Amino acid sequence: MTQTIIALFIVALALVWVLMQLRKGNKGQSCNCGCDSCSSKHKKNCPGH
Amino acid sequence: MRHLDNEKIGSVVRVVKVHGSGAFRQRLLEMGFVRGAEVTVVKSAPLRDPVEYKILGSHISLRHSEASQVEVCSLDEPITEVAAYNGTTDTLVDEMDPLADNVLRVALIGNPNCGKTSMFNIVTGAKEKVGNYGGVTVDSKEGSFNIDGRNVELVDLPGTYSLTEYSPEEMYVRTFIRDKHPDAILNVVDAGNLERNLYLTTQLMDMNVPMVLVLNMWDEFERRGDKLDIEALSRLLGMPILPIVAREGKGVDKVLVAAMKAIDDSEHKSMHKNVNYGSTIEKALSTLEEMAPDMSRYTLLKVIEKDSHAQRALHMGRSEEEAHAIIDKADEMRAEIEREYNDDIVSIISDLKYGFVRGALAEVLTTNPQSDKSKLGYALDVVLTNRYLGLPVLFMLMWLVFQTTFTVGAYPQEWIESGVTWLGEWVSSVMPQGTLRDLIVDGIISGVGGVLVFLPNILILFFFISVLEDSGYMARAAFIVDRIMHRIGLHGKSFIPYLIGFGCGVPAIMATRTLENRRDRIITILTVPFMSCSARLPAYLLMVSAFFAANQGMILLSLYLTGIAMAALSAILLSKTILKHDHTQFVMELPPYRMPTARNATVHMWSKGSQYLRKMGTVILVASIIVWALGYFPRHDGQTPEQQVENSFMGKMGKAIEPAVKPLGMNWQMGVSLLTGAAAKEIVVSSMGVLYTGESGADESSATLKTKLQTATDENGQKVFNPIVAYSFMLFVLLYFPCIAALTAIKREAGTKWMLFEIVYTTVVAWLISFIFYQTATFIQGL
Repeated sequence: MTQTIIALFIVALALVWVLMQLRKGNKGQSCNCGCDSCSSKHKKNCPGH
Repeated sequence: MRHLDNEKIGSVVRVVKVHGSGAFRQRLLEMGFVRGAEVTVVKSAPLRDPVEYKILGSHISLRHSEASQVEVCSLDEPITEVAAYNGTTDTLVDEMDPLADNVLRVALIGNPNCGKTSMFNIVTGAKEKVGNYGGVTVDSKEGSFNIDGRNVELVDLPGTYSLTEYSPEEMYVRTFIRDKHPDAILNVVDAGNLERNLYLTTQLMDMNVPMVLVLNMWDEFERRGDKLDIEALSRLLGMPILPIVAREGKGVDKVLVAAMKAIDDSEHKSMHKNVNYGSTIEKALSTLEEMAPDMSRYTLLKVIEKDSHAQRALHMGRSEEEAHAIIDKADEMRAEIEREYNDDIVSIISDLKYGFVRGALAEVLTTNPQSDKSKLGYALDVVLTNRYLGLPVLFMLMWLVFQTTFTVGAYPQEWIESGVTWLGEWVSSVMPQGTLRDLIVDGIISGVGGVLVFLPNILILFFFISVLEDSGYMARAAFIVDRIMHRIGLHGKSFIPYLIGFGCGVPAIMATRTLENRRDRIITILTVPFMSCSARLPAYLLMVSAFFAANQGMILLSLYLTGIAMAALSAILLSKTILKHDHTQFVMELPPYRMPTARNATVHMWSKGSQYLRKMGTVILVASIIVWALGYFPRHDGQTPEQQVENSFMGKMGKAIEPAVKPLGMNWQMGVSLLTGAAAKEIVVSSMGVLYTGESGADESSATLKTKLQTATDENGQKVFNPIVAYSFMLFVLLYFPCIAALTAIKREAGTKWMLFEIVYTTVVAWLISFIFYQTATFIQGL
């Protein structure tokens, strides 16, 4: 039973992570540079902006 | 009238005039095709077109149709050419932004492939991608460093031959200087090709920004035995000049000190000299300077050249009438200049700029007559771009890379596989039976471990790609295949995004920004995903190693070639139907061969490896957990593991899509794995690792995913996989819709409409090709 609860908790965490990524998704991708760690300064310099 | 396209291989001629108009003509002028310049016809590509020409020490590739625009004459025919140094001292101080938080902004500007990013990496400790071909940097990269207690932001800008308005990267650099007001410019130039590189310098000088001229690749220059009087050149151009070897970091410190000094000096006055364009143009410039004292000499010259962006800039901060009065005056003066020189303004300015550079270099540069640059840096071309050997060598090199990826990668792959298996067994032995143990062993270890085993192959492949890029061979590959690119209606420049696409689709889609024509860009964006990205590689490696042990390299090469062929066919289809467009032109520089550095190859490998590991710790881990949960729940008592999976959420989803994938020889597990690949392509493999938790067989718990696939059977006891099914599956993985990150990039660069088109188009193509292959191969096998 304990194992099932922990396993379900881990699955729930994974789902939360996906939701967070989806929420962040459009914000994070607004810079066209393609790098994950794009700083806000960098975004300003992207030709797409 | 003689034209360059009719000249024989080996002949040396002189440029009289470049005909035509627009961006292409401008590009030719910038690259040195100005009146009086000597051109050597070096060789034609293996497919006869394009042709390699040598001009100003650079090797340029031009198609016959483009070379026909260049009017030439023999060397002994008299021709008036401008070759005189004319510099004037200027004490203008441009208005700059106040220094925000004491941070200084220094920009790296220079021709493509002159080593800006290498210098940027050395100074900031960054690991940005570099390559021995132009167009690697497509937007600015920022980093910072400290010097004498001052914070400096260093900006690496895309390479550009000039600052006109014809290509996006030129506009980008130009806008950056205008809007961001860098405190200083480090103008990086290739010391081995001063004449062409200094052309851009003449434009930067007119912008009145503190500048340091950085002579990169100084080691190669010295090795050739050429001599440059740096002090004299510094006096002539009116700016500090320092030699460096960016790849090794030699001399970089001194450049930074000089940049700080240039910024400090600029507070009093700019020490630049400007190009003196002769009395008529100088008179025009002073008239305009009086009318618009806030404008830089560069902008005013551009107004005379009828540059639309410069004309628009005139409207800022003044009334319509005032702006129009200046433009009318400029029009009047342009007509006068063109009458005097009997040529158009663009040619006149290019000729004069090159004349200035030529004149200055005549005083300070002595080239070693015994050292022929082309012989040193281009010796390998005898074989690599040879008419008969070029194409076979290209294919052989590609095959060799793929084969080595497997053979050398097999050893570390085996060690990781044993490690993953051991870990799974160990967890199974120490944890009591239950849901959590199943999650860890069948979900996380099987899923993530299934992808982790391919890390060595990825590292090896990217090591080779880095070596090929650094050596300068990739530009030759573009030269060799250009005729094919032309046939499929694409710009030769599309080759660079395609090349980057083998690594990852996202930067490849962004790299299409270097294409001037929007239709070219859209076609390239839509076809780039057919270039098999590295994320798809684990799926191939798994299938190839399990079912094609005898011909691993060849099978992998065939997949990459299929991707290239599909990109080509799609490009033809698109350019002849919904994206009909005119003939596109192609000018490309062939860089000299260089010895790849261990540092660069390691950095490239490490950055790819860490990116892969990061992805494994995030997307792939999470996806493995979710796929496991969907395949594990709901639980039913008394069922075999196979029945459990089949009755799970995932099983039901799989069964729903099974009719769509069955004609391709696939079962529902494969169908579901493909679906999960939408998040990231590696997940196709991790999903299979989770879904194939072990079928019949005594050693199922210790079996690797490879053996699980080899032994998997369906309800009738028939083997699920055979080489035909495996190849059909790989074809689908190769061609179907790209991952979410790439689709988002397509949406940003081309719009939602084209993103939706891409999803439907690639999936239909993938289905059709897999269907045709599977059905035909099964039919032939049954004969």
